[in-house]
Amino acid sequence: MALSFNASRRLTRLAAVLAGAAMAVSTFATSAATLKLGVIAPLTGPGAPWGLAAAEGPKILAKEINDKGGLKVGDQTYQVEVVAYDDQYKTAEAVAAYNRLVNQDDVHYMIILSSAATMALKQNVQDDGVIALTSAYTAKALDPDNQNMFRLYSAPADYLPSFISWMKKNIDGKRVVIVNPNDETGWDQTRLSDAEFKKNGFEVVGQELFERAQKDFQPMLTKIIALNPDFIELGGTSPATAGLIIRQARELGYKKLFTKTGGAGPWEIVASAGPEAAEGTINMLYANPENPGFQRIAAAYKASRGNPPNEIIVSFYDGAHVLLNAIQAAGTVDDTKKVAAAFSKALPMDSVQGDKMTFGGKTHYGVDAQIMTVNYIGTIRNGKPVVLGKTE
Amino acid sequence: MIKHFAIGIVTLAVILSPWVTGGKYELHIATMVAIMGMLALSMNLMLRIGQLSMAHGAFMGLGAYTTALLCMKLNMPPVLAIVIAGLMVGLIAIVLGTIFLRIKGIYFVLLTYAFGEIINLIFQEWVSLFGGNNGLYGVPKLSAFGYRLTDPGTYYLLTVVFVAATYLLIRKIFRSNIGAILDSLEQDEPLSQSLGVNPLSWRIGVFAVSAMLASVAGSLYAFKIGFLSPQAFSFSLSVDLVVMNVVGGALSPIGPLLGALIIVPLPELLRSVKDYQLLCYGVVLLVFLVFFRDGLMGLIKKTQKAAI
Amino acid sequence: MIPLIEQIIVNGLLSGFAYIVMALGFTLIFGIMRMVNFAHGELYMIGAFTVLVFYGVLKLDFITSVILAIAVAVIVGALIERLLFRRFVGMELGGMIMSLALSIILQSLALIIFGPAERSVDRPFTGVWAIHHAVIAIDRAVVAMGSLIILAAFYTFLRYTRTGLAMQAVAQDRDTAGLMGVESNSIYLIAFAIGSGLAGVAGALMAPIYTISPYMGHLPLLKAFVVVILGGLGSVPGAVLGGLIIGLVESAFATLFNSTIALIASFVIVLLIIIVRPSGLLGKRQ
Repeated sequence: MALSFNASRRLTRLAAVLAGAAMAVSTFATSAATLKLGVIAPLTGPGAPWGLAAAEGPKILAKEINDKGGLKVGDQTYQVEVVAYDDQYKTAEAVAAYNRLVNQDDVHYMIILSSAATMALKQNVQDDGVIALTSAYTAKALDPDNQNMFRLYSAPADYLPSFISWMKKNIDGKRVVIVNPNDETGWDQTRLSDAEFKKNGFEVVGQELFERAQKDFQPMLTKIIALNPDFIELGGTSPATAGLIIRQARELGYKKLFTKTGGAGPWEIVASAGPEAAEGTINMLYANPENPGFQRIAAAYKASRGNPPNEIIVSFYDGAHVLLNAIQAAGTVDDTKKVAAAFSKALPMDSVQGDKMTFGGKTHYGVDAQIMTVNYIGTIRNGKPVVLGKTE
Repeated sequence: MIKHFAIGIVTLAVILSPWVTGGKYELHIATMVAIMGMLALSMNLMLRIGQLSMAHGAFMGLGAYTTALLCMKLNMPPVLAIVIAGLMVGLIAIVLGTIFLRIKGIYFVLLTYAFGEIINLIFQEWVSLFGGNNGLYGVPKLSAFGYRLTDPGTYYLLTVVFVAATYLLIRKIFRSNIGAILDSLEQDEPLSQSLGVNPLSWRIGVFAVSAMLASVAGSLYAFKIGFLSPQAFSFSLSVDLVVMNVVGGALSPIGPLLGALIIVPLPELLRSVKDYQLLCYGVVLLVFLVFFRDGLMGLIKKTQKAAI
Repeated sequence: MIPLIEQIIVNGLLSGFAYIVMALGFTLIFGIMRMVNFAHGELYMIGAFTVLVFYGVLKLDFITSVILAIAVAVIVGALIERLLFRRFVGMELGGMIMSLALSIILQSLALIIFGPAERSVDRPFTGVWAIHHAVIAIDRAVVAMGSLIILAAFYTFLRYTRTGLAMQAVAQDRDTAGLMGVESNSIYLIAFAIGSGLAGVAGALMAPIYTISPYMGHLPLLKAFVVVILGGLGSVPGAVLGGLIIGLVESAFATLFNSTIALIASFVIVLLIIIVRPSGLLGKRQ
């Protein structure tokens, strides 16, 4: 009797300890001369389309580099390995993923997708000497006290001015209603676009915020249409939701223009709005669909995952490329202080689409810690995105 | 007695191993196990008097946000903030309990569910206070008597102390006379009434205590992660607590702890099969519900009995 | 102002009809089996995905796809009841937790098979009707009309068929019904299957209106829950009345404030009802 009771109790506890030990042992089995790049992003769940782009973009780059012999840094050549962990868009999971990357997997360089994860890990990254590239738009991600956090593309504060002055020359009408999701990205977007619109002579007749999971926009649109705008700006709304808004507005009788100056995804917009409703929508694109560089990456993604990628994949590919360049410019993979300082040497550099990327950010954030990128201004014609211009 | 001594040594070794090895990754997981264990115990307290409360995620959130705001906006010393937050949440529970606890069974569950959803929506909507969907960050580290607790190992030991204290408290309650009264609330209310016990007051008391425990767990969470968002305290947290109690077994206070030990590290162990993670989780719950209704503790007790 | 009010009312009624079918299934299962079914939203999701497969991918016509969706939901519901829920009859808490487990499993299966992205299908009906100052989207009007047809069919079934009457008997008094020769186990199976079918048809009809994703069942479940509590757990007229009231209240709050406030208002209504009149507006006293 005594034995079996002991055994079952001990067994449960022992199993937990063994599992932990097994985890630790398995991570020792890595090859020498490997440079690891971590990714913390939602790989499952609603954010997955972006998260998978964040994981696969760097992986495609790593494969291209490894196929050519590896990354030469100083005298050593390294195989680049991407280690991506799912944070399920939850902060506690992001912190766990970070801990695992830094303490188990010995990773010093990583990409963090969501703004919640970025803000939660901002101090850790500084304390641990880890270099992180974030795709979060929040202005708070960058500040002069933090030398290790970088943004991998231009934020709305940087590209909205030229986007909206393009709109001033190319759109009819002055009355606009700004619509954004009810979270920090959305509030930032509303604030910034409101200021830029007014600077350019537009009249902001209304602002609306909606909940992330919302599907039924008829009440909100009823209110907006009554304000008689010339166009409705959808800001940082996710593309599938933007499509819903566009379609429901058309059904309520709204015939005028939509614009979307925040994160892209033109195909999703067309899919959920229908090509007729979406026709003419002006939106911000990370990638020109005709561009051979983009097409190469998209084909590689499709080959490994089976469906086309979210076009933001170019930003993660480019960001990882700049990071690896900075490591080369610094001549070391271990001294992250040198690498952080080497960003200004790695840039300017060409993006995969052939545009110039530069180093900047001081004007808005007090410190140069952002890769300034070019965005594309597109419209939807016959259900397809067509590029009309560029920003910056 | 040697048997108990041996179990004690093994348990102590397991609990102390993360602190001894000092691996940050293990410490993070272990601290979350301790915090969730405490939360699962708080729900267990309600289960023992026959009430399933889906509000404990919300109580944790209220404790976390209140503690953080007291420290950040009013510059209150963290220890005092934990106490005040706990008292406030306890008070809320007393007020709610006076209304909610008159209702039994499934309607009570639905009430706590509705309450939990309302609190979550308020966290999202009341942006100026709670930071809305983007959350509240910059929660300061826990400091007491001028000493800032930044070392994860020390923080882990602190959470172990709290969860151990909670476990001992609950064990003591149920082995005492109070425990007998609480059991009678669940099993035979008219009898306890005839003995001069006011069942409603007792239930409210238990509800308040369990809410306070949840609040303290929330405070510990706030100081550990440093960042709060409404998502962390949603319905899925309450579901997790239910799963911990079912898997571990609700009949003894060790059950929820065992449940936390298994459920909290599960996403980490299943990282390689992340697409199937959620499926595993649901299947585990299903299997336990159908075959091991009393959870692991029930299984262990059966093994113990069978071997006699 | 008048146009705004008219549109608010129209929006509210259209939403309300969509909620009614969902709520009917939920209240049927609770009324007969005393089971709160957290997986009800996933049956809605299954209905929508069936339409995605047959109408969106295989290009069958819409009506056929909806009928197939009902069939799939009914079969899944029957299997779930027979294999899993049967054990928990009478055990309210256990059944509820079981339904939580099922909801997790069904959601994750959909995730694995279809992936997390939101999908769309073509609209089978496009265009709008204009009535006075308000505008009615035709596809939503079709959903409302479909709901009315289903409601009428269901009511007829319950009142005028032997099985329907047997169901009412089991709901009122299981033991006496047993004495009268009503086999409660098969009634439970039928009730659960029909309830699931109702969720499935709601999802199928709504599939072209919004987008389709594995998570889409969560919000309709919440709405069904609110409607049923308001109307009375187990009451069919209650589900109808509750659906219309909640649809209108939500529409008003969402237009005048925003949809989060509308959701908070719904939950506050739930709280008040359970406290003041737990059997709901039209439910039976317990």
